Amino acid sequence: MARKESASSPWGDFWSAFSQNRGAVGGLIILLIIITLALFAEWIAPYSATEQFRGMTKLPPIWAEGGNPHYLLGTDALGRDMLSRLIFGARISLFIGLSVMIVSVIVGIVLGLIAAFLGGVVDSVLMRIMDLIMSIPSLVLAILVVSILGPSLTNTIVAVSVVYLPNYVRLVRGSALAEMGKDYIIASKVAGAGPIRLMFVTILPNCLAPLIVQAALGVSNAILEAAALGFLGLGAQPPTPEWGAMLADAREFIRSNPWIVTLPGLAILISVVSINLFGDGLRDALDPKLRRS
Amino acid sequence: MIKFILRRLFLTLPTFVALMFVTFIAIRLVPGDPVEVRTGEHGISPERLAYFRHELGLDQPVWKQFLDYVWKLLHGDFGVSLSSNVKVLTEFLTLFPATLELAFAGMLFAVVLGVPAGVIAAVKRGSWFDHTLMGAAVAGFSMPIFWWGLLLIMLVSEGWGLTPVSGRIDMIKYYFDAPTGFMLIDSLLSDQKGAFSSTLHHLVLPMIVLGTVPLAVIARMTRSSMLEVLSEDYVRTARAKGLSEFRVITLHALRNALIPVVTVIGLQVGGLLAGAVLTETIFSWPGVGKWLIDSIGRRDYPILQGGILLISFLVILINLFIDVLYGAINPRIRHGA
Amino acid sequence: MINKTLKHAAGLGLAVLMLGATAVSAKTLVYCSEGSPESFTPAMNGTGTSFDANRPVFDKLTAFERGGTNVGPGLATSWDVTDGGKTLTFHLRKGVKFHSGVNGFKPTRDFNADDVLFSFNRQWKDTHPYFKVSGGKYDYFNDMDMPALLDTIEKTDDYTVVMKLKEPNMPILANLAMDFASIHSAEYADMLLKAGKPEQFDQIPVGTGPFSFVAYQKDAMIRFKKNPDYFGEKALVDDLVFAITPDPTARLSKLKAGECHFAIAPRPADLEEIKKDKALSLISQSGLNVSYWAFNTEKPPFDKKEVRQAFNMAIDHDALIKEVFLGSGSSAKNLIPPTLWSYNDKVPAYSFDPEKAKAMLKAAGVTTPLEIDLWYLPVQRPYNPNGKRMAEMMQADLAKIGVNAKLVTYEWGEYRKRMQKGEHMTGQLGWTGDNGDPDNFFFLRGCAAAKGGLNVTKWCNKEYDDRLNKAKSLSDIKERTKLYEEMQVIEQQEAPDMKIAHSIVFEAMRAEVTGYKQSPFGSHEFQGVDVK
Repeated sequence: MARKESASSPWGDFWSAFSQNRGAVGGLIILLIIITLALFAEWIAPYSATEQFRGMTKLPPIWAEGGNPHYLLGTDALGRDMLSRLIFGARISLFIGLSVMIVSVIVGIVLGLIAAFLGGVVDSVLMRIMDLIMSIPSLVLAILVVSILGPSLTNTIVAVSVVYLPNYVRLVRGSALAEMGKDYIIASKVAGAGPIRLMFVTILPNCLAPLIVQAALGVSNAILEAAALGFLGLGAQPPTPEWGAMLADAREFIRSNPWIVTLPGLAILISVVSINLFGDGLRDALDPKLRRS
Repeated sequence: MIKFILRRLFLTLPTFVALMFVTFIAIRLVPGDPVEVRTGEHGISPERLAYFRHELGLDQPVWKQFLDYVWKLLHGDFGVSLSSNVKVLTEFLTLFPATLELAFAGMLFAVVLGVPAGVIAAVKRGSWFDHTLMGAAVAGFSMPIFWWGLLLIMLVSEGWGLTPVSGRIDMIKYYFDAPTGFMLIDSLLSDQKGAFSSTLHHLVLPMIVLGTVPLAVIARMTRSSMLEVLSEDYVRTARAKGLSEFRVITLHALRNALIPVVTVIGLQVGGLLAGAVLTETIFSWPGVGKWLIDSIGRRDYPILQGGILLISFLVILINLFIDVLYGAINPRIRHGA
Repeated sequence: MINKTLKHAAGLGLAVLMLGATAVSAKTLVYCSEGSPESFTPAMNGTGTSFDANRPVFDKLTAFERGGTNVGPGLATSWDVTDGGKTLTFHLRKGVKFHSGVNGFKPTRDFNADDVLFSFNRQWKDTHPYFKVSGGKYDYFNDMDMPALLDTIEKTDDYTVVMKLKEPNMPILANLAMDFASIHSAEYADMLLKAGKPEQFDQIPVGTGPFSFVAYQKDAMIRFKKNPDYFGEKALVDDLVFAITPDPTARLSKLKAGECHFAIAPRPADLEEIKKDKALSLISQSGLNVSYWAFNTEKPPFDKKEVRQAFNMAIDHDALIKEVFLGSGSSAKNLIPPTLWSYNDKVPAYSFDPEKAKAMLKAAGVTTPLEIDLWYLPVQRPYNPNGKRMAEMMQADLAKIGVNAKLVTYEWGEYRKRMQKGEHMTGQLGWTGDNGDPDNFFFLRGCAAAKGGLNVTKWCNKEYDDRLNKAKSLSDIKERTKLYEEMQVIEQQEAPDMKIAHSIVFEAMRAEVTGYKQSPFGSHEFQGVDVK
């Protein structure tokens, strides 16, 4: 309310709508903390993510009985500091989430615009391919792709990007088609704008809002999917502190040392929740129809 | 209507053929040989390896294998599992009821809880119920369900002893003929007392785990769709006519608010099958999700091919069904499609 | 009702099948097993999980005593060895009945020589009508070199079978007690062939064993019932159920909840909890296996003995046993486990000494940092519960002597193949014994196995190899023992590998289960087992 004067700019509009959403702001704050942890892991984490403290294996967190004050969240099966691994893991998970999002957004924009512009056979073929990808259960498809390429961090990103690609292609194609019928496009066509210019400069910016929302939620989906792959042993390879892989590695200790399993899962949950809250806020703020509610 | 369905089915045909081709190539790109992968430390002699590759037709050029496969498929033959030598279709039909039962239960759980919760949240917008529900919903669809399943087993089964840990029925106490493969139905058909309730008990936890994400999505969708509808003119008119609030909501608002919800339910089906893979793994549930994952490990080409085809075909069919249902609720759509 | 069910089962091949109503009050033993069997014909299977699921139904000519390695009579009551060990004459047991009523089969005759001929010829003769049924993979028959050993198998009368060998071979009596040599009903096979559904033979089994098959549902359960006419040690429970539960955590939970009586392969991490639980009991036995870290002696710097010794000293062996095996393994210094005859306990073990290892590397002219690759097992094996975790620990230890190990792995079939080709620098592998003979382990370091074979160290030492070949040809156990003991000393000094561990196999069951005997071969048998 205090910043009424800025309400006229689109950014100000957006921010005032966004900041009214307490969940979104909370999500953003947590997300910023996670990003900070990820960026400055070397300085924040008390130890290296891979250093093994022999004889210090499977320590519980400090608040539990038998906790050791040197290891705030305890240690894993190899005596590596849990807190440090979780912090470095944030970097891996965010990296996966962002990479998947960037790859699928870029490819999605290109394919979606091509489909919308060229129409006809190209459009049909592209859309049938997307149907095909969507008709295979996502996890089965991701596993198949990783099995072909071999398990690694990069291939996880490739696999998950393939799985989520259709969402972006369809979205971009749909909004581009909707935009193309509008007067201003016809006007620029008449004014002699080339198809590339038309695609990227005129139409794309007008489809951005739904794309941004989809992309934000795509990051969290990618993190979840990658963690599921890690859980099935097909994700990042040792000693990478990927959360899903940490969870899978520790699964055998679920009875004897349950917190080794609990903590990485909690880390996944917290970061995905924060991204989703943030994404919800984005959507509400960017979608004028829902803004009132 | 029938014309619409047939047209849609026809449109899926190229997708289906492409799917056949892509899975066929893809699984052959997975490193590892289906004959070799099953041997232990002994390995297998090159002569015997060559013999089996020949017997299985794996020494043929890939295009020829593909044509063979399509030919057989057109005759309804999905091939034979390389690891168990049982017909792929037979294995699928044995395992699929378990997945279907689980998926159906999960979806039922999500709809039965999600729709009313979403409606109440919308009607009481801004209340503590609304806030709590929406908070829980974000957590719900952010849930890594493999972890959620493990956690629930530890808490509910182990900690509180409320539900069994895994499996579909107590095998010490009950045993009966299973003509349908749906344990809920079979246990009812059997005259053994308590069998049905034992089956229900076994279903509860997997159902919750699988239903969590759809529940969150459905609750959110119902709420926002309901909010939109409640501000429409005809709802206001209905109110103005003096109809009771309950009737306004159930008769006028909900009916229209459900249209997008039905779509969302349809979209969840694919995700449900993916979730079933993880849920089945955690709960040792004998379904097709686990079956497919295991066959990747075993390089069981016929199962992977047939399994993916069958499941995708079902996903396509279900989506078609949803479209038809959509048309039924909202007659305007039919012409547009 | 029964007829309807059978028709249904015939249609579906392996659908649930039920023979008569099972009384709910009957005594049931539930075994939480690991997975679905490949088939119900042991000769076509390759995993312990499958054999366990087949064994209740079948008998063999000879039999391992329950819980031991000694070979005794089975379906053959006695045998004569003539012709310098090249002719074996088996006298078959009379009055043995095949299971009646399974899949509509009612035997019209007792077990006889035709069944023995059928069971072996099916795996042996490619003209046999059943040879190609269900894919025709008879891995064990071939792995145990049976085609090379057998000359003829013939019957002289209904209760006498004569087996002629190409060369004398006594271990064949033990081979005949293995699961692949299970005896099937030839009459049942004929019936199915006539009905045009021979594939059912491998899905709905008929045998003479202590339990008869009732029903199987893939990935869910297998059901057997007691065979009251069994000739040997009888089943003490009425029903035996395999509840297929792949997840070890779920198995333990079910065991604790009383949903099963016996659980295979408890997780090492859970052993403490099982020991503490008064409702459960835990037994253990050392496994017939070894895990090792092989150095490819054809690739420098591992062509130098001193380097290989240094690597042996660089690894904290005790930590591996503690953190990877979690108490389910004992440190290994020889290729054979201590339970096998000819184990040389005088061989010294390498001690953990990174400083000395560093110095030795330097003395051998190796400059650090040295880059090597370390291949780790992609799958869990009986001798190594977690190759990945082990590799991570080894990597950390190696870093301390200036060696950077790159962790590498492939899909299991690929992994073995590439290692046998010698593509690795160093890599984890192991071995599980088949028949309890030391040669079955020592050949792993022989020259014959070095060329593209199972000797993944590619180490070929004349001293060692001469003794290996000599020992094989001797029949005197004392002489063989002496040679094997010397070989262990040579191998320790030459260090083509680092021995890691012999596993300890644990079995968890409920306290009310009595009469169970653990098998050294890691197999599970439930006749003579009762639930109190």
